[in-house]
Amino acid sequence: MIRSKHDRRIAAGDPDAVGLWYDEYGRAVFVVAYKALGDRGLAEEAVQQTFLQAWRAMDSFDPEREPGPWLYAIARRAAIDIYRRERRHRTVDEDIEIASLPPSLDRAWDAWQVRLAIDQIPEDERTLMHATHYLGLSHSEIAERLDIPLGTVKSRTHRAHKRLARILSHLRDEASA
Amino acid sequence: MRCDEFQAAILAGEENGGTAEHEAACARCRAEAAHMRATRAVIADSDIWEPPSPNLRGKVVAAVASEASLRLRAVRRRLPWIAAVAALAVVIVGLGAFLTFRNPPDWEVAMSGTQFAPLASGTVLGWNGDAGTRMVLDVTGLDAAPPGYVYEMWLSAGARHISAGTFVEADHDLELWAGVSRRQYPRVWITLEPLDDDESLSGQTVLDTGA
Repeated sequence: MIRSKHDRRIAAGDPDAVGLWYDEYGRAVFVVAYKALGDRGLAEEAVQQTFLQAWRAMDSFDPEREPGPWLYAIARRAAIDIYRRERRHRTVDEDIEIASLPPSLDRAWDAWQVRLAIDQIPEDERTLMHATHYLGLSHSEIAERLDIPLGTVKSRTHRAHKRLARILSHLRDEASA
Repeated sequence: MRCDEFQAAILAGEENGGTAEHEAACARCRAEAAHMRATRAVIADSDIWEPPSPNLRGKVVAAVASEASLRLRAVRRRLPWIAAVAALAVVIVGLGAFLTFRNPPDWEVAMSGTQFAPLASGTVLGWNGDAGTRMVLDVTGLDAAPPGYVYEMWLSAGARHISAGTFVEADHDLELWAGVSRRQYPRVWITLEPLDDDESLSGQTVLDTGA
């Protein structure tokens, strides 16, 4: 299994293999950090910290296990550390509430899962999802902008949402459990 | 309308008479509909689509490669048959430390292992700055944090605790930072913290100055 090959290379301490993990989880780590910190520069710092800390902790990582939840926990912690550091920077009050958490962190796990799911769908379908949900374009506007037939936009968008719903089905199972 | 079409329509925000009819008739989809709509809100959240810089991957790989190189140097330093290389590495590290800190530390404090880490001991060197305190931690006898845990260093004054950052393994000098002065927060200590949602202190102190 390719996943295990990647993970075994990382577990063996191969620094180049971290790039493979970044390719798979980098966007999701960035989303968690960006949601928590609301700043691109700080979020990217948190991403670097996440992968560095994960690599440092490789001795304790089991390559047979799914690394996603483990990486998510490290990413979340890295974002919280930076959030608290920045709060301390910005205040002169000595009575700092150190237990404070980024306000938008409560939905970070859902955001992580959704971003991973989006990264799993084909590029052409992802482009349509981006145009629909991020840019807020109608099917007609997408067809015009991408220069593809309206019917293709509709069928491909529908297929993308079906695929996404299927990938995210485990989330619904978790929620209803 | 089939269940997968209903789910796709909810995610796409294309609810109509057909979806309402299916939701009324299908108990499973009815149970999942609220979560599907919440997921649609997550998909529509602009944060999901925000891209990192194109060069971030390179920075991540470079940071890890740099650390790997430092570790390799540390391993080689321990091998007696390449003493010359080790000596050179010491010079490089010393030069690096000099270039990094330029000045001697403003303070140094020793820490002792607690019942949770009786073989551990360490020292912390500190440099006072306008924005806080930079510290270098040197620990021996402390195992790597178990899976799902990290070590966290704190500066404290009574019941007020300021985190200086987390780490998993401290087998070499580790740089940490706190946004406060040690004059106000004299106690320096390290706890073992689970990677969970509970932000309260675990109570598992592994190293402490006891100040």
